[in-house]
Amino acid sequence: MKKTLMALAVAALLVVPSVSVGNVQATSSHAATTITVWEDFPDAALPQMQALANKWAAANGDTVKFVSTSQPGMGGGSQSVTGLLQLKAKNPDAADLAYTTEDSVGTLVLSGIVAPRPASLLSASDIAKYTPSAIGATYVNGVAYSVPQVVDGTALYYNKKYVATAPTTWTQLMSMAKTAKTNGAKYGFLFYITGGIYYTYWAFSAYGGYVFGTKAGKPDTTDIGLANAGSVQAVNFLKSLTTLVPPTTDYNAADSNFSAGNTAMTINGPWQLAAYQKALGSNLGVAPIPALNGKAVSTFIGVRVWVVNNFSKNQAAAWSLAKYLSQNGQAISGTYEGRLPSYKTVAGWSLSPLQVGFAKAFSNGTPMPNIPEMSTVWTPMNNAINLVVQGHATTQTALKAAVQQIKAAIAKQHEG
Amino acid sequence: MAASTAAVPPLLLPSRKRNLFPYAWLVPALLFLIVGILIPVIYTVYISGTNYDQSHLYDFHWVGLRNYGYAFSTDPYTGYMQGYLWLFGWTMVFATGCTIVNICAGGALALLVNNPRLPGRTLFRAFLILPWAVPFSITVVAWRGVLNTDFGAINSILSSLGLGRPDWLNDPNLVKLVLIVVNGWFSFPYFMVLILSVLQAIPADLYEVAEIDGAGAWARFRHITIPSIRPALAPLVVVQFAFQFNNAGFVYALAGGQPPSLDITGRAESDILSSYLWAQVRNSENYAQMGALAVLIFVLVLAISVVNIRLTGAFKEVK
Repeated sequence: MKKTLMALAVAALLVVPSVSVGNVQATSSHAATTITVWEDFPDAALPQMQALANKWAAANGDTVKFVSTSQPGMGGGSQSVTGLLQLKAKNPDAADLAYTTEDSVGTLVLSGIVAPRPASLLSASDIAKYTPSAIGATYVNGVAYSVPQVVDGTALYYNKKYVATAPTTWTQLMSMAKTAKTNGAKYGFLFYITGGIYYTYWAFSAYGGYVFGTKAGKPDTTDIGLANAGSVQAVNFLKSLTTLVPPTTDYNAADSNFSAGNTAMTINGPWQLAAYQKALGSNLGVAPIPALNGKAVSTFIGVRVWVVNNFSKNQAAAWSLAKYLSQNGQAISGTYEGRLPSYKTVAGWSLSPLQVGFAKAFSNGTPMPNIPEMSTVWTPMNNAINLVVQGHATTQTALKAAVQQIKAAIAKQHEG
Repeated sequence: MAASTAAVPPLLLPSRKRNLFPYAWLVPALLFLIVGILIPVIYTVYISGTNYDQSHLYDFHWVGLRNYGYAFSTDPYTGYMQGYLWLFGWTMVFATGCTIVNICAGGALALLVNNPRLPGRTLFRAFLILPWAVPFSITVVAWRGVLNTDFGAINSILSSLGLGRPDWLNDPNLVKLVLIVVNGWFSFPYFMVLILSVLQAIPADLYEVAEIDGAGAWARFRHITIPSIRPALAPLVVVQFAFQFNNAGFVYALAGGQPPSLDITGRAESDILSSYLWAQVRNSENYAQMGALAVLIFVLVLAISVVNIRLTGAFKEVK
């Protein structure tokens, strides 16, 4: 008994002082803080962005720590920045600033994970420097939640060794693909056909399919056009592509084969530009995805944005860093990230000839709706497209079921 | 008059003499039970009455029995009953099929290996233990590679024989067959070893006497082997069934949530109840609805186990 009392007393003596020390706070107006940033920059861009951030840090007396989401312990390479924010935003070691896609900001807003952009952060002249679609993508239901960095989407990459000039229609593409195979290409055309609607929206747009209709200038979530006649035709067209593209082709198969010079043409985004340039050199070409059904196609374009964690204790510093990286990092992003700047023009820098191909492709692009309801669209549509392309369901049934799933998920989101 | 105090049970003695020492030994186990099992269960039941999901991660609130209502409704947008019934049906088929295949395969191999006249018996036994000995998570990935439609070994052989390339892991029906067969591959060694030990405990003279009396091989099997194994098998069947009923890890590791169904529940055609629950929690953060499903699964497994135990008399005291 005596011994236990002694032990308890010693333990209490050890615990109490550490608790009281923790309560002593630094009271200076700007204690040096560490801003943690969660990002998924391509390898070429990360050191450049870190160097840029360190310039801001030196000027402000803070430090900036970049955490790549492909690090072990951060959930592995497949854990997106958005997923991390959803799981760990309240953790003490959570990021203050995060680099994510604008279409996922909607869901983050619903859970109160991201902070609204302060009205004083960007002046009218600051805002005018961005393209309207880039700055427009930062608004969710009329409130701004982010700062834009770059724009990306998908376009057609081609290997000039097999394809001299880019095809302008899909009929041309199919015949060029067949010719390329006889000229020694292992695959005439290969792309991430199982990548869902992000990689195949161009087909929907050509036949008259759409995600959400518009009502009074805003997306109307009761009007879903993913099972209309146009969408059915689009998915049937995708299924017909399986004569060229194996129905289970995933991102790695399409990407690695194009890098290795086995494929004549592929569909991918500007984030791979640096890697493909390295692999194919002057044989690389970029062009808009060919016209389909007699119409120019429209791909999904997305904006990469900086968001601030609503639970962060360093929000002012994080916004300041976001503004700095966005305003001063346009050329860096354009060169090293491969994605297109969100600025209308960047002083002292211009698009590379290949990036001009992307700019052409994106000029006709459809910005992804960044309303929260958009997050309900991906999985059902990806599943439906895969089921049809792999021959396990008919187009009508699969698309109707997908729309029903989307409506069910939206109902759940709205019921609160 | 010789009333002996020795007849008084110790617990009725004055309490200050009661020994608390045994209870102290129980504290770690009790702590684990409470922290590791009781508290998570209570928490699960609690969140099943809230709206804790991807859209309400930090601000969820109590909604009563709403999630249970959805579980039993057939509303086209919020009714999960149909999906859950499909899941339940396949889970029952999977658990039953696996139990039958595993025990029969294990038993058949045990009988074969038990034969004293089999050359290289020890070698066979050593090789047949391997599927049980290999690390599960690596082997299941290897199986996924072997079953791959376009690049797997099985389809390479089949296509070179002109038999085409079946879509093992993406066809709704084939994936179910594959799940039971591969589960059999992983599970038969355990049952083989168990049944082998029971077989070896059967006295050899029983068989000799039967042979002398003129009983054929089948009669010897029916009247000596089976009754000797039955008491050991009955609890095995119950436990194996309950285990396979909840074998989410194996199903999800092999089938990976493919192929997707057309359901609003978001289940896959290969999913059993528990693998669907795990996938929804991990990938869709659908905590509240899955809490409700977890409670329902618990009630279900409890009911099935009670029925099972009663029917097979598995845990009856041997008189």
